[in-house]
Amino acid sequence: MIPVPVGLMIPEIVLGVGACAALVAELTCSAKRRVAQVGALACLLALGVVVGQALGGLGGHATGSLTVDAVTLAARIGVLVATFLLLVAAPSSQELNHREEGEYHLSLLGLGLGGLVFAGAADLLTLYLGLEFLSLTGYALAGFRPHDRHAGEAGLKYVLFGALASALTLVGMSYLYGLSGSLDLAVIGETLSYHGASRALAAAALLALVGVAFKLTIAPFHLYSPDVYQGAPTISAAAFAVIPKIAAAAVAAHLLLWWAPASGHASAAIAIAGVVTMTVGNLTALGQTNAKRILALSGVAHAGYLMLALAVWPQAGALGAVGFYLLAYLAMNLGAFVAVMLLENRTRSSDLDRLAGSWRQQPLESASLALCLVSLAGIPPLAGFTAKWVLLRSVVEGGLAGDGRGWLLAAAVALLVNAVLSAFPYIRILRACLVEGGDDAAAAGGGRSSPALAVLAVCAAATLVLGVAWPVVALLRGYLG
Amino acid sequence: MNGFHQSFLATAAWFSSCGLPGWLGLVLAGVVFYAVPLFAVVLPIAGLGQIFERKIAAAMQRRIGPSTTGIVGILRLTVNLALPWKAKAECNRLAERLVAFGPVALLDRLLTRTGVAQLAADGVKMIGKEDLVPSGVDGWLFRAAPYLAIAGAFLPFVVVPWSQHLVGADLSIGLVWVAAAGGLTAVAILLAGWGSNNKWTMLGGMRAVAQIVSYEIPVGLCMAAVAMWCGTLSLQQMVAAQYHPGVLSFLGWNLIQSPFMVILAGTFYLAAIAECQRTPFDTAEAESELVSGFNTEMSGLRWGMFAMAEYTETFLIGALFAVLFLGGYQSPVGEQWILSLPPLAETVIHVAIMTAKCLVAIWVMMWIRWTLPRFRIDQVMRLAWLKLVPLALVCLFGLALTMLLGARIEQVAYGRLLSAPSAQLPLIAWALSWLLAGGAIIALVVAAKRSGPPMPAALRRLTTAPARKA
Amino acid sequence: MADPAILAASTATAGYSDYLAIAVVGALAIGMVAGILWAVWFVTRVVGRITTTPSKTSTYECGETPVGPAWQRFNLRFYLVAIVFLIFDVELVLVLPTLPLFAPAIAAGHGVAVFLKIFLFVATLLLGLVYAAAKGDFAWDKSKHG
Repeated sequence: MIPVPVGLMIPEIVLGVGACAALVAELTCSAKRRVAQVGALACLLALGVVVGQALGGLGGHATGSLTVDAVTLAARIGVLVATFLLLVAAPSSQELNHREEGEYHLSLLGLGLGGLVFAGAADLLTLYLGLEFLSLTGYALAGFRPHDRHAGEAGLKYVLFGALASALTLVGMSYLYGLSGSLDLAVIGETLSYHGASRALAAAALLALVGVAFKLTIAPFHLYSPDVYQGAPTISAAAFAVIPKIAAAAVAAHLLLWWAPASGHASAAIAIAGVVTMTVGNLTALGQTNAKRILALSGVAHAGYLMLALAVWPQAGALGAVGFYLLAYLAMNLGAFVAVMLLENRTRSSDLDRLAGSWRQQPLESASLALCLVSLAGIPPLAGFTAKWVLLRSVVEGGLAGDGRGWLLAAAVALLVNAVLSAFPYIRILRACLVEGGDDAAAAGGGRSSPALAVLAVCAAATLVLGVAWPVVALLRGYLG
Repeated sequence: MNGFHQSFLATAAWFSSCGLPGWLGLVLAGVVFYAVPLFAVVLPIAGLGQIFERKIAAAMQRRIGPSTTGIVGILRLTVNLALPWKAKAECNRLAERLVAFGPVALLDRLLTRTGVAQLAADGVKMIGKEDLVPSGVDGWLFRAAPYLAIAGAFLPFVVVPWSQHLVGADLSIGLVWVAAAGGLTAVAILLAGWGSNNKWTMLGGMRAVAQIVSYEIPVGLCMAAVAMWCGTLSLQQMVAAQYHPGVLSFLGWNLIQSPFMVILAGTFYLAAIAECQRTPFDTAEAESELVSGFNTEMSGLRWGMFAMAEYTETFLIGALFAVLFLGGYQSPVGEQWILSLPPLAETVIHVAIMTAKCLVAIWVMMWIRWTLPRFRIDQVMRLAWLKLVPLALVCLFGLALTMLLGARIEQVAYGRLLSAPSAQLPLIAWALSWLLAGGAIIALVVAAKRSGPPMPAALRRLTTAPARKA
Repeated sequence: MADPAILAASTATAGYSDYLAIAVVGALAIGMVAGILWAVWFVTRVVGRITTTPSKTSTYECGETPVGPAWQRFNLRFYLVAIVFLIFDVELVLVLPTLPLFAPAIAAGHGVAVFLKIFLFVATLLLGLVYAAAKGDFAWDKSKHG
């Protein structure tokens, strides 16, 4: 029998058992927010286990079908925190039909579980399982609003794009398996480096990466994201912007580690993809008039920035850059989406002209939104700026390292240009919310709900604290060390 | 198997000594050894099944059934063809005189009364019927459907063992092959239903596929449970696992190993009937609602292919039931003795026993068909998912527990509880499992009586004795 | 005893001789249908000279002229059943090859562990079945489900 690393899977098992409990709660409780509460509790428990694992030094390369190293642990923490926050905020959304609300929370929990599985995958089977878990729950979350044409469009688009990506991934995986004779990603990596020149293997590996790129919204696999984010309930959009991306980033980091540990070609390709992605994301965001579309494209751009960090990945300090970037992204993006959701509860739309004058009706939400957007735009002293700074520094360091990767400096320039470019769409949202005066007709409705506000406050605070604390810590470290 | 394989090779060699290439010799030997016996057994039974069914239906409804068509028509035709120079009237007279002749008359009466002559008449009629492909259909799908139906009915037979030596291919994944190849039938029905571009066929096809896939699950679970019990997926080995060396060979049969097996057998039988769309589960044809369901647009022998596939499937169900629960081709008594016979005799006896078991299973199926009214589609679906699937799962785990318990107590082997009645302790496990399952059955029945929906009036009338008039 | 060509062929097909039987039976089944349908064609069209007319080849709709194509949308319930089936079919595919190994596992002394693993797997699926049933996915009469 194959030894199963049960000890390493405890977070997944906790979340799975929690999902079963939530399923029972969905059947038995009439108050559907109980489902979200059970799910949030499971997330907290799993988070405790993961933190315990991290503190217990469960690093190293413990494989089977699952690998648990620093990357996995960081991704697990990110996914679990995001799932927890989303589950707390989700019952406040007024987009969900109350009778079916429980299933929504269940799917959200499933997305979190899928993220965990995906992030820790060490063989092709687990990788595909996690990918499909993320996808299937994602499809349900995207098309959740019943009798809504946009939601239907979002769900269908997500399914069609997702199915295509999944099929390509599967083709790639089957070729990888056939050519390398192993399901283990590390073994496949050895084969890849051994038969470095085999074009079939390279093509198969590229195909297998399509799924990861799809989840990470790397151009040209980002095309679905604006439509899906716009049509899906805002909480779903928030989930798509965070959970699959964190998990996929972990997978990408693992794959880089195993498949191309010191390949200049690979990091060049990744950097190019990153630059293209961020440019495409920022340029398309310029003309948008819907807050969720802008946020979706901002997610694409941020995926591009992240790719740059991955391009210098195996180098020392890059793990910190990637991790910190993801953490900051998690806080500010989640905050922005939750704020938009709360505004949307009142306006019933995320179009910019409908959001006009929000600050008069919902000052707290608008202010938090502003904070998160400013951070997303990369303006000091917020988390977004610090994250970009750390990122830029590691890219420049990589470029100056003198090992033939001077082109990273060009990427750094592209990053700077994009950072400036990306500010404009955010400014449009800010102007709509804070400057323009809206009509008072939309004043009615949209009660405040404390859990979602609490989540918003946590995100905003994290944005602020991360922005300020990291430089301080870094300074102190330089001072002391 | 070995001797069989040797003679197979010898035949292949003979073919190639006639100047054929080696591979063709192998294929021809395959035809002679695998396919011809298979078709020789299955086809006549599938054909006779229709007559069999009409006679049984008639008996159950106190009618006589097909009883008028004799062989005189065939004789007329034969004489006319044989003596083309004579006048038609003269030939006919000759044929009638021939029929009046003693032995021929006896044969005529036999074939008339049993309705077998009717089969020939039906065949001749059907072959003369126009094969219509309606103008609006999806030609490819419509034309492909009967091929798939027949393939889906015959391919599972490849792995069914008829004797120790006679088996098409003893695949190690036999049960999986049965499920996989049998699945072609669902595709065939879907193609027929969709491809016909007719509202009735569409409804019938959809219903049929929903029903087939639903009942696939309990059928599969039952097969899985038996595979677990016997420790193999190969049908030949499954039969071998049910061998009992004593005079009373039937003590080794799966059916009586555990009460869970009895329930599983019932579940399998019901679900299998539903999977091949026979009354009371024939919602897909439902002639009173859907004209003729998925095969409304099929005419003549194109429809006949579906009918033949259906009867072949009833035969398959009988064969599977025998293999899974009734010891396959083994005789109920004195199997030991039969096994010691020379291969040919052994094969003949075993094929006969297997066929007899199949016929009993088919007969019960027909009995059910002509007793019960049709269920509604919603009842059919609920029966599958809410009753049969949980029941099969309970039995599967009951069996697994019995195996665990048996092993715990016996510490040597598992299962085979009844087969080893000399040991004291396995008897306890055996008794315990009967007690457990018996209690469960009683509890189920009580619960069903207390909380279940009232029976449909038609069913109640059929299942309770009519009040007698004073 | 056999001629070398046959022996060579049989050793070459040793692992595949089972599939030879399948291929032969499948080909015969297909051939039988083709032959019968060809015979029908021969008897009706060549010998019998039956011709078709437009009204003969129209689809059957109780004698009326068919109204529109039948390729329309169908009830969503079939889709739900298909989904549930898919899940349970995958279960079967995973369970079928596993279960025959249960007996050897008992003999090797880890029967309880294997039993628990299979049980947990199936129980999780069963929970899904209960959920689907409670949500009314198998209640096909409309009165019980929205």
